[in-house]
Amino acid sequence: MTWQMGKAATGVGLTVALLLPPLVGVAQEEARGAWGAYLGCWSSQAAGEEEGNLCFVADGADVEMLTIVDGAVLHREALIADGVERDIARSGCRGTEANRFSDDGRRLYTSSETACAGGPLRQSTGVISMIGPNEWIDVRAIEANGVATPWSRRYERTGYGPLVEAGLLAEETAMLFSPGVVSIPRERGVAVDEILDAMDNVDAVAVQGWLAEAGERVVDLDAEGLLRMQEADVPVAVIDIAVAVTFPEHFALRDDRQDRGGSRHGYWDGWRAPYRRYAHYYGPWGYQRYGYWGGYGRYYAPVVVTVAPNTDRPQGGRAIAGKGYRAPRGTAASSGGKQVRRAPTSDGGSGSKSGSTRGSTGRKAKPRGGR
Amino acid sequence: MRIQLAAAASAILAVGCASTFAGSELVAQDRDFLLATPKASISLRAGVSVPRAEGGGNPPSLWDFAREHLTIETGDLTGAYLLGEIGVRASEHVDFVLAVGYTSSAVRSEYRRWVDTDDLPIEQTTEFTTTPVTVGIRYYPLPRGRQVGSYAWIPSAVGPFVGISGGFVRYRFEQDGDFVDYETLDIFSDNLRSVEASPTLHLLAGLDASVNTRVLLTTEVRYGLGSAPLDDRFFSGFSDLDLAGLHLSCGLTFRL
Repeated sequence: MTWQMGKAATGVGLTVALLLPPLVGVAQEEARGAWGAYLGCWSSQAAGEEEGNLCFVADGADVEMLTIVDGAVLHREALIADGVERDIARSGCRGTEANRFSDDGRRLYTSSETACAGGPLRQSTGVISMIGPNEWIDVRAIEANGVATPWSRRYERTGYGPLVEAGLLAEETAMLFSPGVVSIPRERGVAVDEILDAMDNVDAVAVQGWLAEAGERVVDLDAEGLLRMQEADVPVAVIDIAVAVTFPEHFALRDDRQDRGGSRHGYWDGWRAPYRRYAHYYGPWGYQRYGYWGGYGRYYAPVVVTVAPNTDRPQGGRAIAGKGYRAPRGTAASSGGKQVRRAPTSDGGSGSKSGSTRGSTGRKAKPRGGR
Repeated sequence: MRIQLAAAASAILAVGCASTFAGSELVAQDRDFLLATPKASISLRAGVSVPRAEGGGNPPSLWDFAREHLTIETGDLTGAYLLGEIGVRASEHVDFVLAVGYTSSAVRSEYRRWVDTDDLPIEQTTEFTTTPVTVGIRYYPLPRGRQVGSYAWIPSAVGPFVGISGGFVRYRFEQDGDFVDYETLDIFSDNLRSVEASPTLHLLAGLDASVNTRVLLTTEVRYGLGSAPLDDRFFSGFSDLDLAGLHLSCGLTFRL
């Protein structure tokens, strides 16, 4: 009887083993539809003009990345998100890399291991995520000597101009709007399940950076959600940032390096070395200068987050004695910002709960009875 | 929502006060005395609060500012008042009292002198709430009851009192809606809020009327004094906000 049960269990195990890869594959095939949101050209906020534009064009179920500078395609590379580990060899560096979308298609998880001649093995995991229809972020945790450091890069849509300049638009148009590629509309906010999923796929440091850079509140962060994260051994730092971005009226993510022109957010881990030092240490990776993956160290900004009580209201409206009311400075005309600075309302809810950004109504005032 | 709840509670208790007065003679009593002198009391009352909202002075007052720019009058700030008290009997004539109050008012307003380009009013809501927490002394000039023998205690029909108490008051002044930037004439939507706390002093007088041996109907008039700074992230250059006001309440007190 014991033998029969063991045999049966083995049979079930084999059946599961045979079925599982196709099931995963189907999910990934669906998730790869998320590439649709990335199609087009992008520029990094931190990069200079010489870096050019990064353009994504459809290539089967995945995309091809083109680096276009002054109308010339300087680099072309396939980016395949099937979760399969592939060998890579670039400019004397060898290793492996794999990319896969989360099942909901909202995040692209990246991982790589590379070693350049004479250099240490460098491991990297990261999250690429759309944070708006015209903006996405790439956050990586790069590990060397046993220490993971978060780096981030933010891209904004620039349209299809670079493809036109490169004379590729006519050829690529059909691929850009391939029927198999659809855009996934994104609702604002992150779910606890997404954090847990990210934790299962990338280094916690990358998850911290992703939450901080995205700045989206965790829509279902309640006591149950917090307990779920704690029970899943999500590091305290990740939970802190989840809380901070969810309650911006109480917490602020501060960039300690603003004076040095760094990115807005960051993660503190005792590291306070200047960016230049890390640029020298990590980069270039040894890849060609142009090309998506060649940008590390040069344009990636280290992520340094400090969670602190939110005591500032630097850009909010106010009433000033003798002068009347004053509109928020610097945000009145912006609608794409992610600042949620509304004070809690009288019904006990918070501004972040409503998700509305206060500012200009677009209306103008005139004296009563005036023209 | 808070304001609605407070108003509803006030209305219920006010009706309760009136009906209790009217029907007090009908309350059946098994025994018209207690078997021990009461040691403490709990009181729940509701009523109205009339903020003083004093202006004048230099630097200018936010109250004056609001009245000048917006269609807000001092009387509009009259709102609901809730009060809970715990009294500990110190002597025949004196109680120590811990009191927690809550006042709330909301005023919808518009700019007095400005409209938008479609001649529509530029509207906003101003909410003002206070939460005073005080401890003090309540003095009863007349005996509140009569001890008979070693145990029996017969309550008096009425017991006037005066008192003084001090503590802290936390306030919330919040303006939500559309505002005009006088430099650009842009109409912007915002939520301006100040929440601070400061010391407060309360002077009070009232009357307890026995409904039965355990229940009293208490009416009280209380005047609170105090002022607190404003959150200068939202309200800049103003003097401390006047928190003084008159509080009228009526409710039930339970002898313990």
